[in-house]
Amino acid sequence: MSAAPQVTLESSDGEKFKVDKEVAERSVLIKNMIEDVGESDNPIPLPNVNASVLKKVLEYCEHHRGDPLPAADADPSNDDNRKRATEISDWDQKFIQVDQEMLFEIILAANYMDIKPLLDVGCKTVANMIKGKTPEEIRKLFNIVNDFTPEEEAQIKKENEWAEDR
Amino acid sequence: MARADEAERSYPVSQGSGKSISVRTPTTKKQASIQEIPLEVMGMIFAVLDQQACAAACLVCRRWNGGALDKIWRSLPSPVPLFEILGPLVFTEKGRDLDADYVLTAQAWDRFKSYAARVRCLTYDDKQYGKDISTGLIIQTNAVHPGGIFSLTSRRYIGKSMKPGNEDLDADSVKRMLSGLSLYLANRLKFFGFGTRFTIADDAPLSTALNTFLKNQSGLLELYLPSYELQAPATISTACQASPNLRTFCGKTWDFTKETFRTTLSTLARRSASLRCVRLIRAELEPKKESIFMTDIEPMLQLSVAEDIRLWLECRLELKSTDIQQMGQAWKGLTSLALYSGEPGIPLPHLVKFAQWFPALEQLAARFDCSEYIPSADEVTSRFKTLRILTFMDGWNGQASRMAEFLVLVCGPRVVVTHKYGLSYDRFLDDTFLWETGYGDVKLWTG
Repeated sequence: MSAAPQVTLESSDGEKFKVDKEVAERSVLIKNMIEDVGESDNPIPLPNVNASVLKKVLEYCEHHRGDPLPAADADPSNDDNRKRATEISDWDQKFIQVDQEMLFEIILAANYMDIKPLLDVGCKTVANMIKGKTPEEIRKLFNIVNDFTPEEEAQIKKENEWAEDR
Repeated sequence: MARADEAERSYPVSQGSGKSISVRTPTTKKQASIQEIPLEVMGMIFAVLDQQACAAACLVCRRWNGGALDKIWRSLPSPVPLFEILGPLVFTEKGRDLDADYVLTAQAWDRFKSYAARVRCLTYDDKQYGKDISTGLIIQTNAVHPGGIFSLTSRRYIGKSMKPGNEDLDADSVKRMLSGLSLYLANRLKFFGFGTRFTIADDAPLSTALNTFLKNQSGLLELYLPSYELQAPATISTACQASPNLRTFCGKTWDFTKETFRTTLSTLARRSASLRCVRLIRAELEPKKESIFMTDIEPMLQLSVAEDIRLWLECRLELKSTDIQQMGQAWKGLTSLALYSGEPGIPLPHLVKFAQWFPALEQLAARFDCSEYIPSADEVTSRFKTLRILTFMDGWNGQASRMAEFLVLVCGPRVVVTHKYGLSYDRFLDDTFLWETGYGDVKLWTG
């Protein structure tokens, strides 16, 4: 029996990662690329993911290599599919304990590389950071500039007050 | 930190060998900010947030506003918040109301429209929201156009109240609200629930308004008309024709003859390719002595993709064991079945037939006739494979130990057997009530 087939990925800053094909194919983007091009020794370039982020993403893919793939037809706009609260498994929880910048980089990479479960973990983590905070606290947390006029802010607040106590 | 604009890093999708890929200049060692996350992904974040958190998120900045509002307004518990956009509602003894000399401004109207455009699910139930909801409906929407005038109608509380002295909805207001909403929510709703104490006979124009409203909703997936007493199959027929993807229909028919009931079922069955869940009550003013037979409910057998079927038949239901086989073969994927009929109920030995012919069934509720005889062990030729809950509607009589023996044989020890007494129509249509366990559960012992 031959060893598991491997592929090489190249990060934006030129670093090469040799990983099992099964691990790399957690990314739908890579899976499709391999299907289009066929087996090749050329490294697969990932021009939007730098080495430190790619390393982290591959750590996730390695841990979840055997997981069943999510159903492709799951409608992301369907509330039921999203509703499954903000639960994150223990391992994922530890994995995603990174600084804000890295968290956003992981989300961007998961979105680009099309790794839905990782994108979900990232989104839930951000959601958990937002929960229970006032708008001002959220702005402070993420360093966001308030670009509403006071009048606009007051009006939006008034119109959406009913949602606050649900 | 500077806000990232929308052009930001657009990820190029690489083709083939990936030779022609544009690369983010690696020299700009810019740190990622939350504002670089594409709006589509922000939408996924808002989707897992609750309403309260979204109410804060929509105030953070312009970039977050739209996505958070989409989530908040996607599903409305009542039309009141929407009408409050028009202006302050003042409290009157009849409930909240727009001020008598209120004048609609073009801005308020634009905002109303922009919020209305986000609504996908709308529930309207005067029973649940009582006074609060009925006040929202006082608003007349007859002259709705930018700059138009909302005038208040004189209130006509029609006297069909279940409880004397309890003011009821004004049929005119309901009618106007429906026509107003059908203009601005046309083809947008996926879910619509409508419950009032009106009957169509009270107000024919109301049923016309409802039908017009439904005609303009081609995208409906779920339609709940739980306490709206359907008196003609026309409403069902309209909904079925307008919404080709209808998955759920829930309604109550009132004083239908066997023939009209059958017509209604046939109408529903025409949606057999899409309907997954059908809950229907056939209520009668005075339960008649007639029986319902398989031939009366046969059109439902066309619902081949159904997963959840509930039927309330106030009269006697005569089911032969071959009828159960026929149902099981028609509804192969059925996981939830509730059949409520008048006394005496389905003969208890038929439970074995349900076990035999419904291989995917997880929940079963029915009125069983336990008075005659309880099958012995060698008569239990099949047992349920996937059943989790068995509900006896309106209880059973006597012989507890022999019953338990029989139930263990046909269900296996892990199935929860429960009783539900004194069912009302509302409880029957309720999402969870029939399957709640706890009080009234029967413990079964294997030995």
